[in-house]
Amino acid sequence: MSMIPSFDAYTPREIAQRVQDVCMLKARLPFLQLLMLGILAGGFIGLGALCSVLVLSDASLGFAAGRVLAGVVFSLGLLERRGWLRA
Amino acid sequence: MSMFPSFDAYTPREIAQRVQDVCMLKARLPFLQLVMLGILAGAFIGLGALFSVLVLSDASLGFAASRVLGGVVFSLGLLLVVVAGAELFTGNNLLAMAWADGRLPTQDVLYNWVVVCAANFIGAAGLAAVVFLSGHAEMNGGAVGRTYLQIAVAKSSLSLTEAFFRGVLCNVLVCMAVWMTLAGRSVTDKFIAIVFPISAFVAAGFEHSIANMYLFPLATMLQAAAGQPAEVAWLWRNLVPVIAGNLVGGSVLVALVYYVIYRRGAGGASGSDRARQAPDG
Repeated sequence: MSMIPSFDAYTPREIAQRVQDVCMLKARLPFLQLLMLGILAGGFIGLGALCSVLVLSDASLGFAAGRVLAGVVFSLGLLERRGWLRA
Repeated sequence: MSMFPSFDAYTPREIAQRVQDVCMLKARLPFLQLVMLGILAGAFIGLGALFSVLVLSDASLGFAASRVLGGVVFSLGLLLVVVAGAELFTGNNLLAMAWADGRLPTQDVLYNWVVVCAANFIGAAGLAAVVFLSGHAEMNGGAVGRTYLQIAVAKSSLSLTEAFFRGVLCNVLVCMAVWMTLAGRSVTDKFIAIVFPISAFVAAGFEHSIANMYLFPLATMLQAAAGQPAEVAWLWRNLVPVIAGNLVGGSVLVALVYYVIYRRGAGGASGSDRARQAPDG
């Protein structure tokens, strides 16, 4: 490994290592934190689904536009969840 | 080499070096890893194709909107391959670069291509089976399923020459996308590098052998389920010429061209490397 810090994205092999490390942290969360973070995640994913349904409710959008836009706005849910877990 | 970290994208000359280094790692993967990464790549590209067909099934979109949006969403496939990690036959055509440099013997390159291509087929056809069982094709009032059948008919009615050259053009764009992802450092860089070449090849209707390994089996399953005679002539009418075209486009028009430009005589492989490997290749 080089001593020079790298700005390159993690490689797939590094991703696997990071997933394991994060999983260890997750598995050791105290009950109250785990429960509260779980409640937040449910809320966040729900917000993503809310935005998604908002888009799908527009009958004037074509099939492809409706499906793809609804999928894109749903990303809100996972994004919020990820941001919280990192904190 | 500077001691300071750089935020700059890699230069084309550095890309060529990185491609060679990556190729050496790919060629040395143990069999099980190679097969599993190959299965993943087939499924990843299939997921891109699935997203693309979903868009194409909407007859209310105009020609350009449908083709371009259908192409952009296909980028999912290569993004998964490049960021998450997988071994894709079409991208691995860049191994020709390390071969030309004398760093990889011919049989190692052929071994990688054959194993990865077969594994890609398993992954893509496996995804097709899962998608078939999920009932996804019934979406949009069955238009998604009809689109799969139309695409399969259009693809298998190409002449061998058309299929071959559409394969060539496709893999020039795919290998340029892979090439440019190695210019990037961040996931964002890689995404931007992927979107234009991939959406261009999909929009233009060029032929990607691995995407076809998902589309044709799914179309065949849908035909069989609808009680129509299942058509398997695509194996030799489309897949064979497209694989050959992809090989020429990726390994000759991208890998070998950039090898001559940036690597030939660059001293990447010394004469002794070449001599040492001569008994193998």
